[in-house]
Amino acid sequence: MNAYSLYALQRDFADALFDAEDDRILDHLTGDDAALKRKRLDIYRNNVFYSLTDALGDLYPVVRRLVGEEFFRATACAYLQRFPPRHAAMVHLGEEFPQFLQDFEHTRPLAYLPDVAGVELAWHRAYYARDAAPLEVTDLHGLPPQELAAGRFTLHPSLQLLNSVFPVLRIWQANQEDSAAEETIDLHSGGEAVCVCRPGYEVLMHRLGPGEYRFLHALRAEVCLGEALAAAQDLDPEFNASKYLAQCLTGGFFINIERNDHA
Amino acid sequence: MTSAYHQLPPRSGLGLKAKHYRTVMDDSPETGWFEVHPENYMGAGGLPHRYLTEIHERYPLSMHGVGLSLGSADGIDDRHLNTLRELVHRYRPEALSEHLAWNRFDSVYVNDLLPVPYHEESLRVFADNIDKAQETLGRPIMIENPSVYVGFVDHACAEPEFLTALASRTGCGLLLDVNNVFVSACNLGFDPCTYIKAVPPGLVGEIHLSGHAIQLIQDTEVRIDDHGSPVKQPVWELYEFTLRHLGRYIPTLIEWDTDVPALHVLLAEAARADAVAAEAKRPAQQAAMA
Repeated sequence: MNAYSLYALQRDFADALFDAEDDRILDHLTGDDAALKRKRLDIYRNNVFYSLTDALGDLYPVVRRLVGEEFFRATACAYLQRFPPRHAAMVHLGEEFPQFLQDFEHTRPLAYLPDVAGVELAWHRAYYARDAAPLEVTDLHGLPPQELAAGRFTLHPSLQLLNSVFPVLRIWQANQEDSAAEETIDLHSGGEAVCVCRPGYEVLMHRLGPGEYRFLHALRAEVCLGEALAAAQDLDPEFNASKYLAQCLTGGFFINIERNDHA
Repeated sequence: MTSAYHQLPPRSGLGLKAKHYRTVMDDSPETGWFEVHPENYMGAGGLPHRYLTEIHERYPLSMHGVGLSLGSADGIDDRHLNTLRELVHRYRPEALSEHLAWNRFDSVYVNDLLPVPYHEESLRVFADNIDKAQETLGRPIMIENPSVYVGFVDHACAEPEFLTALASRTGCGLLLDVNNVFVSACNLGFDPCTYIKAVPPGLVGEIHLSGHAIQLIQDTEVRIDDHGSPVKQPVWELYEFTLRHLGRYIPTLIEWDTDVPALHVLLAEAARADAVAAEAKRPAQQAAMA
């Protein structure tokens, strides 16, 4: 039996990766030159932080573009120290990043940044969400109006809703890799609500009016169709119920309607 | 020749990269098989699964895990193992492999393959974890030798002996990464050919080849296994030496994971691997006839 258990070795190795000052592991590595051993350990530390920062940058390319590569790398390192990965699969990496940007002292002044990150996280979640066939208009044919109004739509598993006081979708669109626009966006030109959905294999972004957001938000809370439409109209007189319902169906926002048999 | 560890065809294969999905679908390039990291398919749905499904309809598939942390002293993460099992049941890959490494401590995952000292305790840890993995996955897996940058004072045996003991305890096979042998040999100062000669030929089911980088650290040359360039000449030579030692062809993968080039560059590397394999066969046949 070794005096130094494998568990202790892995603890010390992992601690050294996340804290360069922690060098308890060095005594257990071969070689007499402590500086050289530290540098060999740096190879692992660089591998870990570089690969994770790259993965985080792939998830948040717009945030990276907005703050610049160097600032992004420093922010990502601070984030990874605060929220080290809890899964081996990269699909779960970065879920706390929007919240972190809001709290981190160096990004706190960039008030719009967490919401832009929220759009990117929504896109990422939609991209990897469970596949599901959207409900078709024909699925609703023959349903009496009062039954339709009492029904509850099941939203598509990829559907995400966001509401920001900043023009987040315009910012997101202007900063896509293939966007050539050198548009200047006034941060105070009005907020935007966004619906992100992937009915097929392409993630689609929809800008929502206030009534439309209210409507989808109500459906998310499992409110029946009639009440959700009424809530949207109360908030937004311009909300056109039948037109928007048709748009939702075209957008593949629903996968099922649960009929209320007591209606 | 059939193998107890896989059903891959006797020719080279390629790592499947997302940027090549469309080219592979459109051109159906001539290659024996594709390999993926199952961790990249642990999302619930979307394009990655669609492409992998369609590509697996045309090519044999190898799943090469990087996240199971078989060397973790506190055991395997059941959540990860179960997700892997679902993928293995869904795709039924022709080969399944993992690493002689760890990448998790407590609940934290580090995105790298970290080494362990080779001694009785680590052998027991790996054996227990591999037993559990093989039982859950319902099939034997192959274990890949890591590339290492540090040596441990507690090492009690050499890597090939450790792998051999592990195979005899668990029934796992070996995935011999020839580039990793070369990289570790340079970094730790052992002879790569001595290493290869210590590997029992019957245990090897798959070979990996890739490029590596060279860094100078305090005037010491350190080889970094970055999978970001063509296979280096001494690694090609070690590959030929390996095939001669093993005495038969072993399905060989070209890995290229950073700065991934166009698909034709990977195909050219794979063709070179096939040419080296043909070369390795020749004198052995002449010797047999003589």
